Amino acid sequence: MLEVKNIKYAYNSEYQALKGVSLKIERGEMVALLGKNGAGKSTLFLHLNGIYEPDEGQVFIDGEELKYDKKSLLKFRQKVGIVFQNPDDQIFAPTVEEDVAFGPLNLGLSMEEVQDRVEDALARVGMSGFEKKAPHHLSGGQKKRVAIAGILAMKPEVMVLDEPTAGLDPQGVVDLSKLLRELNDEGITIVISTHEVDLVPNYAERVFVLVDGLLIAEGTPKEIFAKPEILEQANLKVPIVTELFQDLEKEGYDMNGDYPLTIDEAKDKFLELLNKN
Amino acid sequence: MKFDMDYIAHNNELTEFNPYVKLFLTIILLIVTLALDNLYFDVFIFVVMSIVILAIAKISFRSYFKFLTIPMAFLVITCIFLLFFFGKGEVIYETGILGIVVTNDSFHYAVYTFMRVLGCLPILGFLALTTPISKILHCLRSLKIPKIMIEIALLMYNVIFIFLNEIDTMQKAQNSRLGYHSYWTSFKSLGALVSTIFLRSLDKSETLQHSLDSRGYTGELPIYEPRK
Repeated sequence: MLEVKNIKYAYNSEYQALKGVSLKIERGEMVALLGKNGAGKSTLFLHLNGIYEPDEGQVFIDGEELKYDKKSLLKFRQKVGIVFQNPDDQIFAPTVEEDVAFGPLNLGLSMEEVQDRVEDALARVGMSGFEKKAPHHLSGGQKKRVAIAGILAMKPEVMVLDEPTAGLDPQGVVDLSKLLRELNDEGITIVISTHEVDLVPNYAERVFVLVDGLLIAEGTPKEIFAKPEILEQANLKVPIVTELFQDLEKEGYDMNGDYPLTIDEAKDKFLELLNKN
Repeated sequence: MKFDMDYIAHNNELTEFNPYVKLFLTIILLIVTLALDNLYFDVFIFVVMSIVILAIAKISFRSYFKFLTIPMAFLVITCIFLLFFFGKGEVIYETGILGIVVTNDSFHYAVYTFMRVLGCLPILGFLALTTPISKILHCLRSLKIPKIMIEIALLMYNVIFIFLNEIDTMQKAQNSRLGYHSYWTSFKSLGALVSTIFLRSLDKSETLQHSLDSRGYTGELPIYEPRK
């Protein structure tokens, strides 16, 4: 569905942000891109819909190579929507509805179709009734939802979110992950960059780890979090539940190399251990 | 609470009132007030428009007062200059400092300018305090004002809030480290603030461009017509 082949990109002669990244994301997947600050996550994302043109390498969407002329860019940007980290960077219109309508209008749809899409998208993210509000009067979580609605209204096949949980309160984070999972169930492929490792096993089927412009690992959350050397390189930690079980193992409880990653898994494991003793 | 004009514009009794009528009324009253140049009319319009703003739009006295004070400061400074440094003719008052005098002419200018501006402020306030900017822009668009001007206004309007927020945050951060403790540090802090804001603005404008491009921006902002 979305494939990146050996992408290299330098901001200037001294700073090579991406040093040859290749990855492949299948239709309907939900994947996470992990990496510390400055690893090149945002730079990589801006390649996925042609904002940046790589110095070397190609991007393929549905097997079609991304071209950088106006017409193809419009087509690809409809297919791959990016939700920026800071909603203030994305929301520019004086009212919520005008902002959500911006993308669909650029696609040249009829006004009626745009109105339908705006309504649907706002309903989808739970922001119906805020149509006429000014974006700067909304809370951080609400702005994030509007930003997502703005992308949803373009009916993308892939939605790319750059650190979507940054700056949200805990309830906001929970609501957002729920929303993203629902969107994924509806068939939208979702790519998320994050360093909130606790949440990753809850939604991500696959994880990529990016370090200094290179992809150093790829696999299921189970596989990735079982490799301490990779986590260390990427400045990441295992989820807090996993840490607990690793500590328990040092106390003499045998885990057979299977550490729970989520609360649910941890609960099962606990009951199993309790019943054994 | 901080004075937030935009919030007031969205939340007053006249928000839903036809914006075309407000816009035309404002323009006509401004022209009439400037053209008549009559002191009594200036006072009259000041009183009438203040009543409209306070009693009909139900905007709090404090907000309205704050709205007036900022331009009022400029007005007073301007009129002081007019009074002492302009005009020729009969001298009516001598300050005795550096030969600065008030003449018949300059006195006339200062008083009339002051009153005219005083009359115009509530007229502008009537539009600015009761009408959300999106509605004003919508009006201007249908009146065939060049698109480029409206787009610039729209983007500026959006960016102003981010800009003010940014300045506010940075200033608080500087204050917490005693950045404005003395005259000298104030100068230095302000300089640092201005240069950082400039760099950050460049950064932000690039990100905004990226996010607009991501949604298929073609160099022209399309117009959305909400369902009635």
